[in-house]
Amino acid sequence: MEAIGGLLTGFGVILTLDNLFFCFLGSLIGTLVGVLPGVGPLAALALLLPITFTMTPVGGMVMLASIFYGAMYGGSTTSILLNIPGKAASVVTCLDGHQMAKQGRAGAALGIAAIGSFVAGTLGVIVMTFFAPTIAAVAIRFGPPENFALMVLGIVCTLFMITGSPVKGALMVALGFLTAAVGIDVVNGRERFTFGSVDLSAGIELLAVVIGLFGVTEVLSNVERVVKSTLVAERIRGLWPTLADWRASWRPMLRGSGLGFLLGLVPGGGPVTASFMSYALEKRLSAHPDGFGKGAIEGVPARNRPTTPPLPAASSPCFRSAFPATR
Amino acid sequence: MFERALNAFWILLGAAAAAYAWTLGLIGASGPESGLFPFLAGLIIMGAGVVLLLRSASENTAPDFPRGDALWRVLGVIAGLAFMAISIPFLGFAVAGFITMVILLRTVEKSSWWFSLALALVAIVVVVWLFGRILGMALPRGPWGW
Repeated sequence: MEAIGGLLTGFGVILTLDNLFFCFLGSLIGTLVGVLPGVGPLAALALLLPITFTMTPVGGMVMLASIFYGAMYGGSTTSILLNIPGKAASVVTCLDGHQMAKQGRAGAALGIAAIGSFVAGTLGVIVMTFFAPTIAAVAIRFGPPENFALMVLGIVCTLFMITGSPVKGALMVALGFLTAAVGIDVVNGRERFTFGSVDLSAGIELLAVVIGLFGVTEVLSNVERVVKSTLVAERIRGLWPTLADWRASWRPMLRGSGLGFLLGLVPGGGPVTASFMSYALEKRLSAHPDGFGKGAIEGVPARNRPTTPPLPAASSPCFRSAFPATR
Repeated sequence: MFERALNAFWILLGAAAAAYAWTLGLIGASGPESGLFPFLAGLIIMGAGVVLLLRSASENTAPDFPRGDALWRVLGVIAGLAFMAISIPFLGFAVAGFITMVILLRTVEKSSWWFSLALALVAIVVVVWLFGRILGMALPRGPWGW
């Protein structure tokens, strides 16, 4: 009852015309910024933070939360239409979302991404309202061994997602390890693979690698085939998913929401890990796993949901212990 | 041939990374040292390279490479991106981006001079305005201050 009372009090504070307008404006701006490849939610928040300086505290928080949600969703648009992830967590959307767009189903992919984001975000807020104090108290006990185990699980899931040669997949995972090792070791403070370069001591940004691997590859592939662009130029139709799409998507949507929420509670377990793990889970549970990576609509909510529920969940350890769960 | 060379590269890269990581230390008194994970990653890369090299010797895995005009277009894009990456610190984002776009439009798209110049100018102005002015991002500047 205390939670319901708090929720009603929150609605009482939030449901004003000004705050709803800030919510709409923040979502719109966040989505527009999130669409730009390379400008992720964190950068969007940092860039747009001055807008909130003149607002009331509640209005500012509403605006910032809306920008964050909008930016998280916005990354899906370029993943689906251009095969260029707007942020690291959108990488998995490229796998099936862009394939759907190539098959003329960009509308369905965008629609299920938007609806799924709304459903998952709402579920995340509801669950956080009622259970966050208890769950966060457990999650905050996550230490290095638990985090290490979580990362190992994420890597195993990544290996499971590989559709081609497993040896090449393992090689690429190890190469990713090596790339991530470049820079200053956060535990010992020693420089690794920097060779005296100041630029390398800051490490290699994951987003830069992701955009390079997906974006540049796509450009080169198009140039080779003399295709002007894979930009979906025709009118996008059928944004509202069909009954068959709903049947295929509602379970991945709910599972992704739950998984994303749980991982969002863990400091360090953010949307990227959640998206890869959820995709692997759906592929594992699917009756036709071969269709994943070739335009299976289950793959879109499998990726897209887990990036949203971690947000309310991630704010839980942040509010309780001033320790953010996501970057 | 290329596949074999690539797999040999993986072996060398893995070996070099493992050797370098060894110098950082693997296990210390307080647990894993900075070199442990890079060392393991290097070993995995090296091992995978060996497996792939042995496999490529027994299997016919001819990669599908671009040829003729397609190859030149791909090389043109790579050269353009390389030029932009190298020249940005000296020319700034606006000038380097403008020159790169003109080169790509002329060589890859075979656009006319006027179209290439106009499109490159408009694109760069919009990008600088959006990212530099509206979003306040610090785009690299040339010696002339923009």
